[in-house]
Amino acid sequence: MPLEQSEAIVLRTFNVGEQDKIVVFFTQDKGVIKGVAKGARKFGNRFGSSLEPMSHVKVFYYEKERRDLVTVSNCDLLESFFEIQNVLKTSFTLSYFSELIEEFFPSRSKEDILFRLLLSTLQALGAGGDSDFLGAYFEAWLLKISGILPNFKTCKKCKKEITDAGWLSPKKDGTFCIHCTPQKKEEIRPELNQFLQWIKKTPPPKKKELPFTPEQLMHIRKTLQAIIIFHMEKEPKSLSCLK
Amino acid sequence: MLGQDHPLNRLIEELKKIPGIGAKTAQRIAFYLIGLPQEESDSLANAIKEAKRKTFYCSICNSITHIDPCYHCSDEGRDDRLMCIVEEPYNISSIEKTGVFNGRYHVLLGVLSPLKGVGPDELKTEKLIKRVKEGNFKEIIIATNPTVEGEATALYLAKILKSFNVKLTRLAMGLPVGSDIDFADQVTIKKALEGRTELKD
Repeated sequence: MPLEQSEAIVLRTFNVGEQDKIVVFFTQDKGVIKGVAKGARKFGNRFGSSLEPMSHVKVFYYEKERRDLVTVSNCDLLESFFEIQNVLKTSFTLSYFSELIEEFFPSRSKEDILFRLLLSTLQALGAGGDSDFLGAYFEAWLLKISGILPNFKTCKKCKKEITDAGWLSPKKDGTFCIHCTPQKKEEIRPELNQFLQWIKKTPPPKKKELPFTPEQLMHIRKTLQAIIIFHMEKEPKSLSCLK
Repeated sequence: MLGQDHPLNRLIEELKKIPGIGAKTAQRIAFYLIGLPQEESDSLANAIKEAKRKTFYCSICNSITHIDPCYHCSDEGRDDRLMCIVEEPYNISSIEKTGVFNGRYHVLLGVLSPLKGVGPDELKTEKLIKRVKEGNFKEIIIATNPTVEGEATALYLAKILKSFNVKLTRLAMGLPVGSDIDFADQVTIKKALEGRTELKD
């Protein structure tokens, strides 16, 4: 059993047995892995606060053949995001991120870009970034990385450029212009394209002054969340708490 | 190999439903129970039935009890000005063991946990608010676990209770007794520094 090590972010933990925890890690090199941290619930255990959700850690673990769960032998805390979760909205937003990662990406698939996205979003939140804006930023990038972010620029049917408002297609895989849309159910405002262009060039913002108003942001998130819910076939539990 | 209709199989299946008990442990417990003398296994079965039938949540504090109000709520020797809020009924016994706290308790029966779908609406706080409004509490100690979920719940409770004229406190976080500073992580040491106390003569 060779000892392996990875840089990881703790997505969530749940109790098992009397003193142990199962930890879901999002590692940089192996994607989502689950491991047993023995004695993690004992007072004064060797893991300390490193297994708290969203901790950036270096995890050391053993893997056995034909076993899905690894055994966590040690966990060094690199950066803690315990304090920022004192704000209820931030705490719920981070639970939402962790639920999305587990739902959209299979276990053990390397997702380096997503790992860096999550870490930089956490750091931006830690530096005082707006949780709503960073939520939209993360949702848009997550859909882009997983390859399901539709093209909002041109009409799916007539292929003409959409300059004004468009309408999200029923299968959430594109946009229809006002002339081609079969149903006027979910409107897409022009600022969504501006937002997608903006996030391509800009790292997660740490400042409070943002180029989009809260109302614009609300519409942007509504569209992105409609796509997320459509592909998950359910509303994320943490999103309903966040709402 | 036992058949599906074998009574032992049913016992194993029922035991497997208990959190923390897997297939192997369930099988081991089932074979142990089968090996017990008849009166001992009857006594165990009766104890489970009776505990289930006779216990319920206290109408005042939500603790598990067999009398209403529970022992802690009906004890007149307790300080009515102090309240300790805990996550689960079993947390009360940990605090009681210290012998330091002599106030009243309130059990939340859970914490905010978005991943389990428990948001502020699911956390039943109406009973707590009613108790604080009608009671004579001077201090409320929020004793949720020192985890992200426990902290978020504590802050949420502080937010909804701050309008009442009552002192809100939180259990201290920091180094566990008997540990070594060298092995503590930065969050633990930071919390220990924040919650440091003055040395007295």
